[in-house]
Amino acid sequence: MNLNNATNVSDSLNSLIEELSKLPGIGPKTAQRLAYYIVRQTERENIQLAEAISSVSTKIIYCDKCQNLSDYNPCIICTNPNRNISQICVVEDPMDVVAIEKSNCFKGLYHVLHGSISPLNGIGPDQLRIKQLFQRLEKEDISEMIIATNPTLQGEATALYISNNNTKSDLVITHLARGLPIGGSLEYSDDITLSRAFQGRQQISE
Amino acid sequence: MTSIKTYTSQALVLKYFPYKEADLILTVFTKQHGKLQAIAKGARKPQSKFSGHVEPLTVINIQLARGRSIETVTQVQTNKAYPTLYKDLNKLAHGIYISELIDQFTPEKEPNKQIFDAGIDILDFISNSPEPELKIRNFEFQILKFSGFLPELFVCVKCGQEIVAGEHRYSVSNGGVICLGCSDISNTMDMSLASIKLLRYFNRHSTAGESQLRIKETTYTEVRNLLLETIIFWLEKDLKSSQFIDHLKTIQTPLTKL
Repeated sequence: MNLNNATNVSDSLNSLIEELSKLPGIGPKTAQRLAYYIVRQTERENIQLAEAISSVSTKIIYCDKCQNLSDYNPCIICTNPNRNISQICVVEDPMDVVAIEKSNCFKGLYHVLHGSISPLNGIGPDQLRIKQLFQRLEKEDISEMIIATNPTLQGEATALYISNNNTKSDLVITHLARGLPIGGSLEYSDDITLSRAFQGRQQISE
Repeated sequence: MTSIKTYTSQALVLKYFPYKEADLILTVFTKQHGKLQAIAKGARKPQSKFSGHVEPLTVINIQLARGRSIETVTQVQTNKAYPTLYKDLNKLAHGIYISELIDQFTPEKEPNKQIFDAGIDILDFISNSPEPELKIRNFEFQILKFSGFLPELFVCVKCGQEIVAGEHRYSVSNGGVICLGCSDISNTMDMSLASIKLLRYFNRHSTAGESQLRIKETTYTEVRNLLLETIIFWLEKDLKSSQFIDHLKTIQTPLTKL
């Protein structure tokens, strides 16, 4: 507990400040401000907040198929009959599924790895849900795997690892296009992005 | 109001970690100012003028503004990128190993142009050569040498007598070759004449020529272990990326291209 910012007023307030300051991006001062805000809320609002927090740890589970976070197992995407079950999109985090779903551009299934290979941080393939992915490829009738890891060093390492270790011979492995972002600027583009953008140039349709 | 002091340098991006909503905190090894930490604001947004330029293993020209604890990146331009590293997992793993070695051996804000040049040189080599392993062993030797940990290769580290060919072992803790009279088998490592010759070759040649050498597999393995043990001894820890390279060697890699 950061005693400099803790108050002598109340032990329960201090413990709230301590718990809040464990959250990412929340420093001791912010935690103190949030704690005082919570104190001023009505009891009903606070109980709602507490219930919302406790229900995520009791209700949210990992989907056995796609490994995404969900209230149900299998999740609603995996059980949706309108999804294309022959395509699987491999992403690093559950937030990536949210981003792709929001864009409404993909109607297949997902597989969430929960991270990327990061040798410098000691995260190897065994710490990710890659084994489950290969099991799915064996079991399910998937014809295309779209690797949608981030175009970073770690994301590329993960993509290469998955691609190198795939044993399903008739599987088409693709990855998302690299190129210029909408609203970006050619002048500030890096060499690799520009060269990939040229490689992936497309004819302007009439 | 004082004006913001900025300065520019050539730099190699060693690593980064995400910070706040869309920022990155970079560790860059600059040629003129040594290893620095710098914040690249907004670099995780696709439209950022920094994105792509600040990926690890990219040689950049960077402009930094002095900060109280860490510098702020104000401009960055790619000087040299290594796209081939990003297409081959083995090369990429070796590249990450080089960046970890440089990161671990260089103290902050102490320039070391020899390590900088050797680092760029080895990344060029890994990028272009199908078999960079021997050159990487040479780089390990060079980084020990340029950091002040050059192993003794000519006289016994204990008695100071000149080493007789074939009668020597290697002592990691004493920092070099040791004669049979001074060595204690349990605390020293085997060292063949071929290994000592190879390390002496590394001492003379920091850049080219390894490709012409004919090295036996046993000599290579011995030198690899000697250098790795020496590195772990001075750093007082294992290198994580080295474990990853070992992991890659243990698995079969069917040639399925991305």
